[in-house]
Amino acid sequence: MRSLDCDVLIVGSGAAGGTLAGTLSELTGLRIVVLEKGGWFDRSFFNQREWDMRVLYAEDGARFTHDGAIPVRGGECVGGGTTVNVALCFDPVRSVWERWARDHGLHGFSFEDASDWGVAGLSLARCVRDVRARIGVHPPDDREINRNNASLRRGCEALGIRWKKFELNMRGCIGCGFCSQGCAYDAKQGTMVTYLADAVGRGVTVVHHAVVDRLTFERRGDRLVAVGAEVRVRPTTPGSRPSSVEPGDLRVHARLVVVAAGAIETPLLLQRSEHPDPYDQIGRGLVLHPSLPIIGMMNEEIAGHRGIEGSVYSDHFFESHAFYFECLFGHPLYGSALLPGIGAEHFDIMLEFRRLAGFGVMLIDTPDPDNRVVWSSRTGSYAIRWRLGDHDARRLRIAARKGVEVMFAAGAREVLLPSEEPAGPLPTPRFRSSAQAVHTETLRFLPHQTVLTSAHCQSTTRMGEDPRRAVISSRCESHWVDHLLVIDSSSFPSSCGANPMVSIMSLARYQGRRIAAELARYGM
Amino acid sequence: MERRCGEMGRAKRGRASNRGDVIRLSHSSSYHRVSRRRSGNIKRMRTDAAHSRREFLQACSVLALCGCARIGANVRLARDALGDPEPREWQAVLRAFTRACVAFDHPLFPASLNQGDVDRAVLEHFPLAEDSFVALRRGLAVFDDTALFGERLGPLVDDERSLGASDVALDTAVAHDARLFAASNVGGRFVDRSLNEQRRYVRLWGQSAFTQRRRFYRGAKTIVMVSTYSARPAWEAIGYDGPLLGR
Repeated sequence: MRSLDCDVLIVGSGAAGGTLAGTLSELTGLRIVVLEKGGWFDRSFFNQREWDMRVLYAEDGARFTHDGAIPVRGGECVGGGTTVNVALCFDPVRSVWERWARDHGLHGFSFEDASDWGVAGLSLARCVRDVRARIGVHPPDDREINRNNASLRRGCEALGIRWKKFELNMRGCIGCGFCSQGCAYDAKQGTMVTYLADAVGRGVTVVHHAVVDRLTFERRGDRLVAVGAEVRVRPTTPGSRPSSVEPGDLRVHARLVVVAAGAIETPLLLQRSEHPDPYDQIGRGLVLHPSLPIIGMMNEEIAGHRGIEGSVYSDHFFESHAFYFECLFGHPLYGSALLPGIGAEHFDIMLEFRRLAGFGVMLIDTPDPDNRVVWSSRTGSYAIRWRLGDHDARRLRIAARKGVEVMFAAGAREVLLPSEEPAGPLPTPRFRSSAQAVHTETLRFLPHQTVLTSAHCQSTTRMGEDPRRAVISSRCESHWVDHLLVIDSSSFPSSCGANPMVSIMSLARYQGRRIAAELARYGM
Repeated sequence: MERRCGEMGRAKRGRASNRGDVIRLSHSSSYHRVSRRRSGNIKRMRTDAAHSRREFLQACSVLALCGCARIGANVRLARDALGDPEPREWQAVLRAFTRACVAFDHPLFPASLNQGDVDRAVLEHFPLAEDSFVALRRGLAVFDDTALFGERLGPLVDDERSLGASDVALDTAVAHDARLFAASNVGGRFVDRSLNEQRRYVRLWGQSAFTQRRRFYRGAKTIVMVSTYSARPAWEAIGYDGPLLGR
């Protein structure tokens, strides 16, 4: 079998893997290999067509929870989620990290300048600054706020609800509106064009179309040690850059293995690899940040598919109810699948396409150990088990009502939810006046009747100092396998409290700087 | 999904029947009788008086209503045991489903996009004849027999129970769907109904108390809508100006 030797193997090239490769290559002379399951698609491939660009997503965009109800979107291409997201940036939420320190015993991660772990200048605060500078995080100008985002701002202002401008990782955005189909202008500063490009420039090897079947562990004394991975390199997908490795089996040998494959793939890989799990923790506690779209039919043209997709949000209800309103919009394929009804009922809404306004409720869901990602070695398949808990459903009803009221305050003549459930006396949640928003109180959010979406999975390989409740330590080291780290959104002990990209990148930057200063710890 | 199909497979093999369900899941179930007959002639099985078309559809309904799942080993075994709807059968149902979902009869629907265009787009976008879509093909066959909507189907009851439904909730769900069906005034084969009746019946599936029925509705509707709104005439009708790039 062919083999590849390196010092550090990184599984995943997204927000975490890309940033880690960039950081380690910047600070060390290590031989680094990055494995990416998806293809290497760049601006020359991105044609702004929804159907064609499905190849950028896990399962071609058809990855769902086990009941098929909630799409769990995730980038599966070089750059991962940072290639297909809409560039929304939130700094790590200090109150959340402080809670993790209290409840999960996390060390380090200083929000002031410090020298965590005895490493000069290492703090989360500095790493956040590094990341922000490298990916160009900044708020948009007021003139870049399109009419859809202006609608949310107007509705919030009318009801005295606090709103803010998003910060975005963009340089030279022309406002085409196709962020989620890959940026054809390299304006979005995902890892493919920032940290990973830096890493490749420094000699890091990226093997794409690389499916990691399992990690390889070696027993040394009474401990297991990660020593590499068994990989299948798939034929290159049309449109991708050619692979430097021929299709077929590949064995990678490494002195340090870092899994950064995201909150779905990471626990599945650990389970497939038979990583010890004496307390049945791997994959549990999945957080999805379920999102409920609020759709307004306006009298004036909105054309929400043009311009920067998300520039306005509201965190007014974050402290009290843990949800956000975030302005987002869909192109026709996404929209047509989302909208309720059939026949004329559906088409009449589609005819309003240019006059539709939209934003989403993003709920910070409560961790539940029964919400989990499970690999079945018997069937060779996986399941993403997630259900909306009663408490979260109550908060979502409140959010739906507030959202409908905001949309009417923004000037909508009708407001609807992507749902075919009855809402009080209404056959479906399609509201003709703000007073009818009260009928959201009867919604049950039944799977396949109300459409919830998800793109922020987290918290399935949790950090914590107690091995009975966590899989990895504050250093992101496995409690059970030496020389194995997990650094990505799965590492968070619970929801990071916002859109996670900058939190993930800051975590990767932080651990990359720490690893570079503690190479001896890993035999390097 | 594959995992769930596996669970259903185990349910079929191991569970007792469900209180008067149409399908019995014990070892003497129709599923196993059908399976044994697989060693003979599947076509003969499907026309055998002892295993009517309806019984066949009931037996495989749990697989049928699994939406667009990728196929797993258990599904494959069951598919082999139960056969597969003929292409002309499921394609006719799909065409009728498409006609019901898409507003071809709307005065503002683009004349340059007809049903044939959308039917072709569906097959271009989704390889429905491949193994990975066996569940959808079966779902279409079950969907076509409208009377099944008003009946208590054991596999659907089992599935709902596996999702946490209590016995009381299951009884309520069965009664809910039976009531919906009775009020719809639809009967016979879906493909033979008028357009208005077809639309009433399609909506029933979206309003069902059973997750698997709603799942089929949403999955099949998504396939049809995605295929429809991939077409430039549909973009023009709704005012979507498409990609800025000319490639």
